[in-house]
Amino acid sequence: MKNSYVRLGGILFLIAAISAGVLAFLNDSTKDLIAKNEAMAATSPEVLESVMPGSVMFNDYADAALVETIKSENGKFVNLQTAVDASNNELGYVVRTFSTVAGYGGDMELFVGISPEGKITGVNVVSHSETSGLGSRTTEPSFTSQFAGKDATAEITDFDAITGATKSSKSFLSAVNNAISIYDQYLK
Amino acid sequence: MNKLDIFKNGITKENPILVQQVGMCATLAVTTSLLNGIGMGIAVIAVLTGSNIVISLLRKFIPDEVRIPAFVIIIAAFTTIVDLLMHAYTFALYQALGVFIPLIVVNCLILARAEAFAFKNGVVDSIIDGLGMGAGYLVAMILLSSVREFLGNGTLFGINVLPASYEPMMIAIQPPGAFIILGLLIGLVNYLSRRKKA
Repeated sequence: MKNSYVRLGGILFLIAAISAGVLAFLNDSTKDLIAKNEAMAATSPEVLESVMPGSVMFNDYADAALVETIKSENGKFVNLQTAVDASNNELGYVVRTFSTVAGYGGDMELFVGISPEGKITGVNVVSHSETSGLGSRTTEPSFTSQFAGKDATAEITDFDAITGATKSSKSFLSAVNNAISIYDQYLK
Repeated sequence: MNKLDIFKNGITKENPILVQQVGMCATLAVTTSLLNGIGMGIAVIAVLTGSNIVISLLRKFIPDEVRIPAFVIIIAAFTTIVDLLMHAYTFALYQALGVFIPLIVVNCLILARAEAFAFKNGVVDSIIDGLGMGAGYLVAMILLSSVREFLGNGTLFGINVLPASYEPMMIAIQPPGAFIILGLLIGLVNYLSRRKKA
């Protein structure tokens, strides 16, 4: 009887070990490619254009110490970059931040473009876990475009939420407002 | 049972969603739009056929007493393999379907086919069973998701098919609407299949 337990456990162990081995190998051989894909998708030309029209690249912000300061003081802040056009002219700031109010599936992560004059140039969702078909509509231009042109000097309070996805819309707004408060506090 | 019967069985007599009603959680959750429904259907066909092959090949090696944990390990491994490969090599496809891949692990349809078919039949039959069941799943997903997107959003594949004056029936794409529409669909299928018999 005892022997059969050892045999069963052994076979199960063998299956698990082989599966783990295959997955470990595969994970190792694909992880670089996956990281590259993700990085490229996050700053594809469409994303750049929607966040800061005319930009071709997001560069790291020159004052790295300031970025560190913001990081330590604002828990939802991810990164601050400078958008540049084809001839390397600086077009404005790009704040990458999570929302401060959770949506239906947790925090949403956004790029918020802000011009040197303090106007929002565009917003793009980097990642979210909202319900597909409902909350996910906050990622569509018909919703995000309403923020372009708004003042980044004061918190936005009135906006058109998506019907049936109020929670996701509010989460989205809180991320935009977090970017605004970062701009007001550190960049203005 | 000949090969064609095995294939057709999954689409009609034992349709996983409309007749067997297995794997409901993922079905109800993702059918908010036609694109989602088709994506999930295709992902299920891939993993179901793959896991059927592996389990059928190993059916003499896996002892009866530990078959369920063995199935779970194999299905989970297979799902992760598909996830990693798509993420690395077909990134555009992954962006559209990526969210559904991990959901496949909890789809009991795959476990049910491993237990009921692949563990008792040869490799070729298991492949056909996987494709047939997967096709049945896909057909049901298309039906359910197109009705839900049409009523709940007035669109199909995200394109407006109804005049702008149409007020979307929000409940159709919310979770309660999924139950209601699925129930109506199953009722319709039962009605048609009974009438055919009579």
